[in-house]
Amino acid sequence: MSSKEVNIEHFKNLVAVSVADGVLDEDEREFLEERAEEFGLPMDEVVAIIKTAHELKFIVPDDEEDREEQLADIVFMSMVDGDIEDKEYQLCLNIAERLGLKKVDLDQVIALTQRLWNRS
Amino acid sequence: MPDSLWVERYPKGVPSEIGPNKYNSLIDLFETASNTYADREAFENMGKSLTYQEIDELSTAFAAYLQQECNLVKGDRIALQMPNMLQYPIALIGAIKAGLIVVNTNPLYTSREMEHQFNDAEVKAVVIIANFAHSLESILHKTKIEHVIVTKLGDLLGGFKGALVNLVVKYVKKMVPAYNLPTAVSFNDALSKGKKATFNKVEVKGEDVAFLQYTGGTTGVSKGAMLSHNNVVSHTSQIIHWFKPQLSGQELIITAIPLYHIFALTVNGIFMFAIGSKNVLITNPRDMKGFVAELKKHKFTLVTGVNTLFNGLLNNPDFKNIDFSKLKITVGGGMAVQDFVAKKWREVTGTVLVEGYGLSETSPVLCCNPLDGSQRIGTIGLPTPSTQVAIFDEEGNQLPQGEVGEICGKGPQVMSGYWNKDNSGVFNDDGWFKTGDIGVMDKDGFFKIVDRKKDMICVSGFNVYPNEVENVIADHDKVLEVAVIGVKDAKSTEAVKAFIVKNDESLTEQELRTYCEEHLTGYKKPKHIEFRTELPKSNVGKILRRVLKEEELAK
Repeated sequence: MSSKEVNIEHFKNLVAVSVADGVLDEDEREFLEERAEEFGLPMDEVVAIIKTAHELKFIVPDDEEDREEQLADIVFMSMVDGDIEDKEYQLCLNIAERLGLKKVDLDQVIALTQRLWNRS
Repeated sequence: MPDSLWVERYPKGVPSEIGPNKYNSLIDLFETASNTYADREAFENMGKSLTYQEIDELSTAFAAYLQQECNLVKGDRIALQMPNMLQYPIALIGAIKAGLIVVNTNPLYTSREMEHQFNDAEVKAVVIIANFAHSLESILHKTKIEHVIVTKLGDLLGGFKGALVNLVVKYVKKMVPAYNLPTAVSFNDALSKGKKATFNKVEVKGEDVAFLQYTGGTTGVSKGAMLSHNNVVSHTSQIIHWFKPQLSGQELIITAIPLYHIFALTVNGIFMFAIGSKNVLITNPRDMKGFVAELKKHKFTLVTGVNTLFNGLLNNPDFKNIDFSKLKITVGGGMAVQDFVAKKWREVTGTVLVEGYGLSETSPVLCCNPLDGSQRIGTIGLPTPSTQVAIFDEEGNQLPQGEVGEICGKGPQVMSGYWNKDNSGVFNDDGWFKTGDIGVMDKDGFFKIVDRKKDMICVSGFNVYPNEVENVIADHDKVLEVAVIGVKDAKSTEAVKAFIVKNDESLTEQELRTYCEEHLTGYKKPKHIEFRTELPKSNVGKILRRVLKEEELAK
């Protein structure tokens, strides 16, 4: 996969997670838009991905570093609207496992995010 | 060398001459150190460390990328514009391996300052931290830059941490303004591509230029001091000899001064690499709390810095709780070390803070105090091995010991001249480099700075040239005349003061401050602004800064 393809898959995964609780709130939308810009994705592509959000399948990246980055991104997005809630935690755990990562990895990412965000 | 009476004051084990260079070039120096100390940790930043071997592999990959993907060839200029982070040594060593000339650039430069430096050096490529990419975007079309490589703070921290640091820096701290550089390549992508590309060794000669180190010089127009491989290799050898009696095992140095500054570049960066030290890079030393917390994690043996930094640390209540048991040497440069700071440093750390002296044009060290306890507070120490320092009068006559005049230097670490500039007047007829600083030598060969260059302002170790600040302010539509001088400042030694004559009475101080914010980097901005109806002038209409200084001193 080219780096652009990796970015598209990464972004699709973020969108898939963001709508998993049935709602795409304003903070999440804003974060997704900024990430899309950072990934260099054109707006029409972004709109198309968000439109089909409920049909998106979660894709597991081949590269371990990419998998870790995705989990970090997903945890970060889950915390954009405040601390991570039980439902969000369970969703993140599910994703971590699909990414081949463990609960201990997830807890590490959450703790690190809280520390860097001064929320601990 | 009949005037080298200082040699008698050299500590035991320090030779008067360095002899032939051990390395043919900086490439040779980097390769030798990487092979000799392959398994040792070379650099650490934010808890992530890289060994000498990893630095070697990553820098070679970066060199291959520059050669194969950017088609850069020996002698092309590349700007590095980053704070202290792991990417810096990789990009620096990679660029040198590719035979390029490195143009170290302050990341806090405004667009105007970047444009001048990049165009003057005819830079073809730039490695820049994302936090300042928006400034580059605004001037890129006015430069000849063909390749932009953007890096983020967490790029080399790996896995979860690297990703989270990048997210927090951008989305929580809001430290990365939006930018649009469609052709830019990420640093990590450059490394990935470089790993797959072929690196072709470059033949470099000692006299080839390695760095264009920008400095205001004595005229105020920022100029690139051409430092050759020989200059920097010789400087490294001089410093090794100076430090050698105090060195043992693997040293651990704290690098809080930025690597784009000549002092950190060649002393902390290159010298320490050559002797296999571990180098802890501090990205933001202004965050004193974070800095002290980081210091607590390491049993460091050496620290370098400027007076402001040492003073800041000493004023942090937690600083005294650090373990200083391994600390051997602290060296201050860039600006005068204040006596009370040196005294307090000794009280708190139990070690001496010695002062050295030099300029970008001299790689930088010309003089340093002895490290064996025979230092003299208030002096800049003795000329280093193979270095001659003398005092000259305005007519170019060498003055006897004890007389005050301009400090001039000679040695293998002294540049050949400024890049693409008329170098007349930079050296005297006998080839002495004229520092522009006024000083005196005592009977034992210790030198002392009596006064700074006539008009130069020294703000926390950074040189500010009144001409540059005046030129910027004079461009404001509502300004008729301007004069800039340095005034004493308890925190930064000196601060910039601007005297303004209005062209339009509606001009306010706030308006001028906003304007300066846009056009001048932090330390160059006037701390004090005073409006006047007229400025003192000579018979020919030249504004007399001297009179303004005298008025300030009389207050």
